[in-house]
Amino acid sequence: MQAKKACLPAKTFVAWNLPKQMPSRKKHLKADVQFEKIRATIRLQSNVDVGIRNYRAKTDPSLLFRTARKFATHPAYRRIVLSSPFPASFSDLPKRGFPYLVGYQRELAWAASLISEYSAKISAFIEAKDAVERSFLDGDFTATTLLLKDVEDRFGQSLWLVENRINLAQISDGVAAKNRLVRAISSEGGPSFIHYLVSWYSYRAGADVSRSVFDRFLDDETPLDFGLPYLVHVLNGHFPHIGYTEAGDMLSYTDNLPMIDRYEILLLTLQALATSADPGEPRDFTLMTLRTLSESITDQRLKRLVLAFGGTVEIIEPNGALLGLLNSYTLCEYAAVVRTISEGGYRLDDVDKIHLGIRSALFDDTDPEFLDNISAIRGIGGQISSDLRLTTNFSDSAVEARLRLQKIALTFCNSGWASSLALILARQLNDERAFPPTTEQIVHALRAASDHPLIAFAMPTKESTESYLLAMLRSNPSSPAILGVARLTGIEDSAPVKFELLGERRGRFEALQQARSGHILEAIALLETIVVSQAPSTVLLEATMTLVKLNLAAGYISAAADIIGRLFVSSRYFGIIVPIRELTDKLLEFHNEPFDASPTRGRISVAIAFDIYSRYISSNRDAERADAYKDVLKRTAITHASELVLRANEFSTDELIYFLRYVCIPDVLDQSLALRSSRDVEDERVAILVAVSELILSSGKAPPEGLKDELRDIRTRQVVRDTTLRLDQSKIYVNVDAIRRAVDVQMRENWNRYQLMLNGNEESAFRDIARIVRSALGDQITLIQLNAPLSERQTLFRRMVAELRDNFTSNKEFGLNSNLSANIRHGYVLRELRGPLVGRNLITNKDSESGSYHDNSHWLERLSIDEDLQRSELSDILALFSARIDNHIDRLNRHLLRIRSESNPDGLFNYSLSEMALEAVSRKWGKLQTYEEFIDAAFASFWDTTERNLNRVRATLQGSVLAELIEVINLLEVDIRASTIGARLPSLDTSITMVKTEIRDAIERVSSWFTLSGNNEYQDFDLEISYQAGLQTVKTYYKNLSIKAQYSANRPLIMLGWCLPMFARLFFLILDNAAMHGGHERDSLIVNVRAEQNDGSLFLSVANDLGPNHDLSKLQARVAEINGEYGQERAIELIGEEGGSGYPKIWKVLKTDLNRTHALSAYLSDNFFVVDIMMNTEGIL
Amino acid sequence: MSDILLIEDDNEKAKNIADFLNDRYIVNEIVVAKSFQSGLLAALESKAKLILLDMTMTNFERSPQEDGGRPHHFAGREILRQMLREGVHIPVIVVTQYGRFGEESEEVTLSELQTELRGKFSDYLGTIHYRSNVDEWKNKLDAMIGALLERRV
Repeated sequence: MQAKKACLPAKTFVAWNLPKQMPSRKKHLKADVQFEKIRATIRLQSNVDVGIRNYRAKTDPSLLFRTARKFATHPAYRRIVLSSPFPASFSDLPKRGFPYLVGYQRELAWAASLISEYSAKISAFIEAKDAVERSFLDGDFTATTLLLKDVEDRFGQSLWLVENRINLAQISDGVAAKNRLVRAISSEGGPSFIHYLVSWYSYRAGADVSRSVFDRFLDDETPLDFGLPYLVHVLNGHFPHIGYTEAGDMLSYTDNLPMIDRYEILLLTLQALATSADPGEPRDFTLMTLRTLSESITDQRLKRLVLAFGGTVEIIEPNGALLGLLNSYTLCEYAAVVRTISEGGYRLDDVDKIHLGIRSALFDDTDPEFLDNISAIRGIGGQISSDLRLTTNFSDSAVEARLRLQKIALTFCNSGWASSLALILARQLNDERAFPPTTEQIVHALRAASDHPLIAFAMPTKESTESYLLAMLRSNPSSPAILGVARLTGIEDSAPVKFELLGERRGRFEALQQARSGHILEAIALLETIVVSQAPSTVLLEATMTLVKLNLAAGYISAAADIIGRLFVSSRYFGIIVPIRELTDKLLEFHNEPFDASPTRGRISVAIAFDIYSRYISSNRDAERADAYKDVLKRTAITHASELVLRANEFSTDELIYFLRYVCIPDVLDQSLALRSSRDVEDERVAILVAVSELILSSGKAPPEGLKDELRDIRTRQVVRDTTLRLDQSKIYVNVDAIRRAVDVQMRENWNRYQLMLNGNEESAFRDIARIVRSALGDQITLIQLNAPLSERQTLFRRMVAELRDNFTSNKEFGLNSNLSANIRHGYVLRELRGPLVGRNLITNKDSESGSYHDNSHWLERLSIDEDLQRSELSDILALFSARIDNHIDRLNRHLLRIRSESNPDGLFNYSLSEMALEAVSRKWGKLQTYEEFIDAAFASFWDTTERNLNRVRATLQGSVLAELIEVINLLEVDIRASTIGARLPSLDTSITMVKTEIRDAIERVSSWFTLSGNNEYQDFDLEISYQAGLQTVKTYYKNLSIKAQYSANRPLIMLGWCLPMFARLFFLILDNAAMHGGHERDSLIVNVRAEQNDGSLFLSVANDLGPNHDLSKLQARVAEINGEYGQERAIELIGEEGGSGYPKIWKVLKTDLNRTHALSAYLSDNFFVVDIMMNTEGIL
Repeated sequence: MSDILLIEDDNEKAKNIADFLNDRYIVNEIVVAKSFQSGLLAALESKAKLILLDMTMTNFERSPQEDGGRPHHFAGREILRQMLREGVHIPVIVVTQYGRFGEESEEVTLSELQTELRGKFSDYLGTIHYRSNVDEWKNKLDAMIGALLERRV
């Protein structure tokens, strides 16, 4: 939308106004004469358009107001000035744009003058509008439809009509009907800004658009920089501060609108302006205009505006039925109010009536079914009744009720009753009888559906309040309701009748009167008496709310905090209605004062106050909440909040329970200097939850399920983390027992042969020769056996040792290499080291077909679309970085984390046997007596070697590998800084810096895997724990993938401890596959895991959803391949290799590690990839 | 001889700073705390003559057993705030590798952060922008320390 510009002629010689010093008799020239004179002037212009434009821009506002209306109906000008006041379609409206912008007074004069020409029709519209609005409340949508049709027939198309039809369509027929309607309106054509406004109405009506969401969106999308955004705001229930300039801009838009919209927007603009209109000429002119309009148009809103702009009116006629109810209510005849409404058939056509009925029923339970009856009425009135009942009662569930009411008030924000409703809701935050009304309250009072005495207190000034009440008293001089509230103002003495309030009402009104007069301490004293009285709960709580505000005003901050704390723990509803921002602002003034001198530090209510702020306003005072928590502990001289339960008698139980349960949460506890680790924080939280349960039990209630759930979650998380950690440290594993069994027959036979050879003196020849030579030549001789071939015994021994070593390192099913492959190289190293870089969006994956790296859209999207060169440069740099990182990880996996061999000379696991070593073990083990001793000695030696190898691996990881990775990151940093991109993407630089620390941590974690676990004993466990452990690892590795995983079992499946590592790895392998393939190019993944145990078998089913672009035919082929190859020879060959789907590893876990007879089946079902596994349960469950 | 408290979660950076301090000044002991919480505790109990403070840290010290807890983008600022609140007055120099802090609506530049710290904390001496591969930070740190520590001759 473009701001319009003033369009004035560059030069004009025509006098548009009458002479300044006009003779007095000429001041009274009839409008007709004035009109003819202006016509004559227009005729002097080059054309009529220019003439009208100059007339509008130059004429004195008063004269313009008197004469403009005549142009609207004159045949010679009608086409230009007002071609279609009541158009059949928006297309009948002029599309010429906005040629005028002539200042506030002339815009007001022009709009009001044209409106006044149609005052009778506007009055008729007001009546029809009222009927439509009441029909919405009634919930009779058929009647609403007919009424709207009638409005269309009589007044044509309008924004007002469209707005109501949109709301009706949304409520009665749903969003599809609403969208159809909006499309139909859109096809009408007409001025584009009308359709822009309609789009806001449509969005606003959406059932899923809450008040807060709408407000945020409106503020973001329509910054208040010129007239139209202001118009959008006021038409959608916002009341920005406006001055005369903005009001003039807004009014100028009415030029292209149907007459009834001109009128409604004129009122909206003046209602917004009335909250802050400065005195002076524009104000006086506004008042004159409003007075004139109110003489010809029957609309109570005009009278209120007259008062708001400083004028007076003789009579304000209240809504008679409502005043009758109010009179009974004022006289404490609550049963009469209830009876009147119920005898009237519960007709809920007035929000104030509904509210009065609810209050009366809460104070008097003569008709116990009344509240249920009015809540059961269909339609919006019934919904409002139901929710007002909760808010009026300050019920715990009123939080949602208030949000629903705010949504209703937003959707129908241009209805009178919506303003009445908004006023009722606003009164809970700020009782306008005691405190000055807010802008919102003023505007709603000016727009409200009915006149009644309380409206007076939301008028913008003390004078307008009094004028309103006096005008109302003139029409109803003996009304108790009017006389009652008149006591709060200075007009009591002017009242024709004296009236005394009854019961608790008298004390409350005295307190309000004192507050209103600025006698705060007196008001506090009166209210403190009321809040401990036997008055109905609603009265007590309303008085307490007033007390909060008065304490804040008096500077009694700790008292205000204590009251708010007490209110909030009694009902969460207070969280959204107490002045928490104001309170915390004040608390901050004392926050850093020395502890012993501070009136607020150490109070539990202060911690609760900051918690309310955190929950309902912002997290930007969370640090102060943590401070307040620590202060409470300091005040009670304890270090752990869980110990507070021992001092329970020093606190209100409800406040202590709230503090412990909701303030002492992990994000607050972790600020305690007494807790040194995440584990400490969790343990303390557990202790707190237990303490809270005990406190609740001691008060005779049952602890809520939420407490148990949180306890269980923490425990599960701890077990899973401990398990994962232990599993990480048991990755280095060789199934020595299985190897023993596998080699037993052959090796035992070899050992026996070796023993026979040893005992059969096969080498005696050499020893005999040596003995003979030494006896002849003495001991000086040295005998060396040169080029002597190994004897058969030695050869056999070496073969036995080598075979054992090869089995230890490379047995496909049980050896170290297979476990290195399955537990470390397959996915783990890659994902662990890539994890931080993926998390910081610094690397991408390689496309399997093209072999090149995917574009790094995260950073590319942060450059403008027209920065092609920079985008290309950044893409190249990041692709190169991804390749360098992957090369290093690849080298680590393929060359370093390997058993050293001729084909892998860089392998860090070195089990080669030198001649010397073989000689040594030959001498040592040759003396062993039994086969078992030999096998034990051999494996012990291999474990020793493994320990040395692990030291080497850790040193290499933390040395050269880390240095190389850091160097690659440094290169990226240099590349980015050398390019032109660095300055454009400062957050990229931050990410690069942060990831260095994270890579160091990742290397440390990987290093920690290379250790021999001292404890391989696991407690029996629920199968879910192993699933959680696998899932946790996968989630760590796929940080940018949101995994929604669900586990279900037909019964608790308690597994034997020994198989925990295997099941955790099994779940990791399957879930890793799901994340890798199912999560490809997506940011979310759904995983469903089902476990069933029946008749000696365990059935596991893991299903993951697939992205919309997944190539299902390709996947189907892959599924066939998986099923075809599973457990077959080729797959078994792949156990020691990495890459691929991991099914050989799954087979290994199930078949060899768990020793299961099992079946596995992969298939596709309803866009899910599913893996089913069936296994026997013997020995594991 | 002076004690220095170095609150820094990056081992390499901590080592480089400590090496520099030992080379340039007569230092009795450099106590290193590697997280927000351990740093805060050390700061509140410290008798050091100078605190060198990182800005962005995890809540607890990281290890394979401890993921560090929550990251704090403004850990350094928070430590300064707590020192002020508890009446601990020790000169503080912030040493950071970052040019920006926080995320999205919370994000502030180094310059904005410096202005804020200067306005709020009288013990704050200034901020050094640290780069592991550029030595410029050493001269700046040296200038900022000034006469606070005794130089080696």
